[in-house]
Amino acid sequence: MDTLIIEKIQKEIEKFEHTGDVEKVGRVVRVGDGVAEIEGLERAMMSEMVLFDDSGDTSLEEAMNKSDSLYGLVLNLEEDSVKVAVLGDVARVHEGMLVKSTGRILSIPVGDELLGRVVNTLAEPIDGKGPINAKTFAPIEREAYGVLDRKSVNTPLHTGIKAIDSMVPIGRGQRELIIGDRFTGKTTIAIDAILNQKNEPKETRPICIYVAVGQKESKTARIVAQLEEAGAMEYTIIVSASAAAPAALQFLAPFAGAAIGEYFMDSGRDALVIYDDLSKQAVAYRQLSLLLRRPPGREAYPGDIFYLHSRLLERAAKLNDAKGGGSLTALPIIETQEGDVSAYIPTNVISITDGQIFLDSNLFNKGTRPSIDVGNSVSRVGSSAQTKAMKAVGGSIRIELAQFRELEAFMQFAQDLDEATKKRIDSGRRMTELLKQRNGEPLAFEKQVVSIYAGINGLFADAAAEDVQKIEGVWLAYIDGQHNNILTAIHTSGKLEDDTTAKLDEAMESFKKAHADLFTVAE
Amino acid sequence: MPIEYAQALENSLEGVTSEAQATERVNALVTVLKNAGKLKALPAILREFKRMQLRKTAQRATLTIAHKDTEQVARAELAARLTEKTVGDISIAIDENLIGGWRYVDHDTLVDTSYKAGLLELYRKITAH
Repeated sequence: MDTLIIEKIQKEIEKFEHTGDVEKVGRVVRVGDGVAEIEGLERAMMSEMVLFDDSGDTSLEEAMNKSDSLYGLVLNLEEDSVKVAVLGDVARVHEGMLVKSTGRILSIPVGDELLGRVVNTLAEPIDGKGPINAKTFAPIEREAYGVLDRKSVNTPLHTGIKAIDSMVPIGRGQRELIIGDRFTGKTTIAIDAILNQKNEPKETRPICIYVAVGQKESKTARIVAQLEEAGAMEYTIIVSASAAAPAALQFLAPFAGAAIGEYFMDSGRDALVIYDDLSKQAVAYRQLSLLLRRPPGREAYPGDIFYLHSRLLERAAKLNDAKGGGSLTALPIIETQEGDVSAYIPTNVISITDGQIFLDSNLFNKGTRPSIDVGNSVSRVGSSAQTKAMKAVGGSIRIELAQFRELEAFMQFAQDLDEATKKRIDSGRRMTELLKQRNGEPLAFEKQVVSIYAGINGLFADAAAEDVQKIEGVWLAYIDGQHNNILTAIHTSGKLEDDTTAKLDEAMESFKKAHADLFTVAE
Repeated sequence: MPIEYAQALENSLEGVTSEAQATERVNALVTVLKNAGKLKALPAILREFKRMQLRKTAQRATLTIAHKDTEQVARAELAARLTEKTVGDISIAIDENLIGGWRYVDHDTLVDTSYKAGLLELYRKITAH
């Protein structure tokens, strides 16, 4: 073994030739807050990577101890200098330091080798599982696909959450915003969506990329543990730029996620990328822009903050067959303050995306989980990707729930209600209960259909609202055990055929008889 | 404002050779600042002045060699390398850390043929995998 290694090193040495080429360099004249100003580098390009040469004044031994290279990203090209965001430990940069031009636009390694790994913005592993030997590199910034390369969204991306898959469906290649105050369950929805992909067949299962921007390391560690426990890491990649990472790495992290996702899309596969969250990315970009002395605009954000998000989200696409038919679905997350969706960044991202899932803190506090505000949530393109079975059962829920919320508000002022209104309110309550779901427990699409079908066809009509969730669990277990062919039929065809509905009706009847104890006649 | 004062000081020091003359110019600047009530700006002016000197040094071409007796060889090799560029005044520095070979730096060009750079490159190549 030892001889083999010695031989290998000898070969490397024999092959090695140090030519000492003429290199273009600049010198650091100012450094602070993660930004370095460099004079020289006259041919530097925008978004080019530059290499800080910290081996100049040191001995060989010291230079070898600092073996990791320190890179910077060119962000401002000025008359006499360039301004560079330092992508690493800024304490290593000092005035007078030489900076080498690399001639490369910031690129990161991409590929299947990243699956199951936790990486930083530069796709370097941070999970202690050894190096990632990816062979392909992709630029972090890339122009999005044009109109002719795309096709309409036509395949659903099931999140496993009944309220979303039935009322705010998401298609593969869509950009659906998840928006809400802090602690309303935004990340939970995203993680459930990743977990639910386990229910998809392996060959069509989307590769999931979770990008954590400005998050606590402990939160990211918790998410990794949850995904690992559920066996979801095998098709997931985590890109983490924690709150402790330099602002440059935080603002670039979503672009790194997009570049990784595009690799899978370009190879004809489906990918799902979650940006958690773009509010923190915008703050990091604002910080960097102010340090670069770019003029501040509204809320001190720079003038190109809209472009930052639009060029990122535009990279989500459903490609046409000539391009391989792959897709990249984006679920950006935005945190609002006191439910204010009219702030600068939320309105920007709402206008860029193809719809939004609005999470309401009042609903959350009332115990409605997921706390989706149906009235303010919308999916502009997802319905065309929804399966026929889900469309059949989910069509009426949205209106029914909206009417219920209105009546519920009215009920606070009125005492005497007519029978029809009372019935509607009871039915709305039961439906709200039916749509509740515990976190980390996404439901397969066919089970959602069976559950909602039962809800709209009166299975729970004789039950108290607070028992609905319990009965639903028993009902699904019953179907799974006794009528598995119904689930298989829905799963394979994606439709709710006449014979399937007939079987479902029969199953409902027999279930009611078998579990009469679960039902109490509503007074 | 400190940049402008530092530039004025730099201009006034042009052609000055004696230390006494230089002290006189600096004292004149201090008096001007005192009269204008801007004495607090002095540290910032010093910082800018230092930066300007650093820039000047950076403009100067430097050939660093590991041993004094290799100067002629290094000069000849450098002239052969920089074909499209005429090398003007070069200041020579000796740095034993280079182990062997030479390193040339001017405003925007670096040529490093030192053994140190070669060994470092080899080390990074081997340890990268």
